[in-house]
Amino acid sequence: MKTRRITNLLAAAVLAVASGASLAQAKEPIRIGMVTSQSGGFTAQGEDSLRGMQFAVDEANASGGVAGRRIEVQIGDDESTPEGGRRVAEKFARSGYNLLVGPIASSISLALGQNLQRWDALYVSTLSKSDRITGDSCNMRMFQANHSDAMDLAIVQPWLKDNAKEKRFAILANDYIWGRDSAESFTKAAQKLGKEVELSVFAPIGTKDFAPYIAQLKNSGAEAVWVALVGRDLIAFAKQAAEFGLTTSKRIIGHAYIMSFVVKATDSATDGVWGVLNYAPEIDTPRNKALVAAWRKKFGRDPSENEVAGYSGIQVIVQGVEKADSVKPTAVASALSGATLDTVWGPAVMRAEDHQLVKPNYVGRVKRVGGELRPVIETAFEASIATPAPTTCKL
Amino acid sequence: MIGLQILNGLVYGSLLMIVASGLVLIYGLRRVVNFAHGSLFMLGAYIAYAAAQQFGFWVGLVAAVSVLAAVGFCLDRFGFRLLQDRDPLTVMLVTFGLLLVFEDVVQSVWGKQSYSLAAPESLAGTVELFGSPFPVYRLVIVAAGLAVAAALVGWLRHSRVGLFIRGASTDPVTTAMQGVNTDRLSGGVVAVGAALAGLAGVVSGPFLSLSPTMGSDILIDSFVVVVIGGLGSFAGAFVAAMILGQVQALGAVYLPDLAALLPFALMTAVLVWRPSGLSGSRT
Repeated sequence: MKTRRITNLLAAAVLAVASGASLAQAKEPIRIGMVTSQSGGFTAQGEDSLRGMQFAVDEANASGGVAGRRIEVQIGDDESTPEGGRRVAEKFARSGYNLLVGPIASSISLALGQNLQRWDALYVSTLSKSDRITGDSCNMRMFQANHSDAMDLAIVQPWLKDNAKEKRFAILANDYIWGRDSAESFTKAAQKLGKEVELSVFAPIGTKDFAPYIAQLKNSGAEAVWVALVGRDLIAFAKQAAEFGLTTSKRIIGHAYIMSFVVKATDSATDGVWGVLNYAPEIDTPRNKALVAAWRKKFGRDPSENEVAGYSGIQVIVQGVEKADSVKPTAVASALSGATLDTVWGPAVMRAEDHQLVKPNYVGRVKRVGGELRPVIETAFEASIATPAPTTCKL
Repeated sequence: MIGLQILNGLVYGSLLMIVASGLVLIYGLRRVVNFAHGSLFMLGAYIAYAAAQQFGFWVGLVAAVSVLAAVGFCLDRFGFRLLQDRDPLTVMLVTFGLLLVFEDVVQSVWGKQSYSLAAPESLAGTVELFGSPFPVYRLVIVAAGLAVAAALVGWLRHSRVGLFIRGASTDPVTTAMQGVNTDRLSGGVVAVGAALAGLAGVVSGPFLSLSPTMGSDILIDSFVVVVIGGLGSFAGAFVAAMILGQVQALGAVYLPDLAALLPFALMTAVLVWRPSGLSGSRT
């Protein structure tokens, strides 16, 4: 009886010591707040990017965590509005999930950016493109892992110069700040090369029938059309442009057009459309090859641009934590600033001046690859051309 | 160019006409401003999409219209009939709730991404009109709109049931006293209204994209049509839909900066000028 009790006590003691030891070994987990659009105008992109983020987290946790840390996440819906995003992000940050990632709309990213100091949080932008994120609204705690608008437009002029024989262009853009900016930048780029923009038309957001605009574009003397539309407007236009034969009669060049979710939602309507492309599965880097292989194994297909954007956002946070050996937002931020990160685009510097991830960018075309229609890279522009110098940011 | 733009306006106008005529039917008999109408439109498109994957566009069309007729009947039997003595605002809120429920149901079945419903191959080509290729399918939409209008006028003006409907929408109590079963009538009419919403959803599939919010998008335009035309009036809805189609098409070309505003400006003007809408009276 007595010996049995002693054995029990001993066992309990061993267990206690052992668990204490393992507790000491496990460091504080990486707590990530995923703020994403699960309702409202950006739900489709939100769903894609969330899949990418989740994949990155699962992958890291399955391989035993990051430098001894597990990743824990909270997922919330920003309802596609800045107010919704701010609310969810504040809740997460206040409950310790203060490494934020996820929103799509730039307005939401900027709303988060303003509050990071107050929340003691850090934010990595993955899908927003506004230049203000690394411009006048830049912030010690905010990082731009996405290609900014300035990056997308920086490659337009060099591309037009060497690859476009067309002399006359038309523009169709959504009538709001992004569409107007895109149209203006394109016009400047074309004019610098002695090309002409004959016609610029702006469709209100929420346009369902693009036939009146398509008729104008067809009627113009332009040989190619620059298109800057978003969301459902873009999908409706893509279908209707093919229906009216615009896609075959003039070259269509899209700003944020040739993305997988658009190609998938429009049958073969995007076949042959050109455009700026931020990612394609054929990018030849070790990290990308590994990602594509793992993704195929799990989902039976290639990852899309939005999925990879989400994935990369988590990568930035994770590598920041590794470099800082801390989960404190300020420590992670100073470790990321100026650091060289391992990304699907290859090694990329998180520029210290404005927190823009310096990476290459591409122009591509929608093509049939092995029976499936998808955007394919036609011309790659290295990071030095694709990432313009910092502008108004003062960190 | 202008001929082409007028034709473009006719296409969108016809689509709006089909949606709005369903709204008018339901309002006429049940005095319900049916916010769920947009979701019926969306449901029609998704059902057609699901059926068309297996059996092609035409089966999809028939399936969507029949399922939606059944949904409409149930909506009346288990919704509007039970709520007919309530405050109109209560019923409106219920239909708004249904809109959200239908949107969520579609979202949980099909997800949030956009889908594309292909036009039937026989209608996928283009014809030369005003010196430019014009999709045949869009002409079919105009034809479908006209056919729906003609069929509704024929039905309401020249059939016995039509007489009952007109009677019941003017004065349901007296009509019931004359021996018309207005509840059964309403069931049928709401079913037809819902089927029309479904039909419009299917018809719009090949040129818009399918997404869970497509219903709320079209609902706003169809309310504008119904308000301009006068609640409960077919002739008004028909004229208003055609005007709105033209306003959108021509506005996009000649007044691009105001294009988004024009439908609402028109609605406001009509409300100031004739508060009960263009037609003012009921059919």
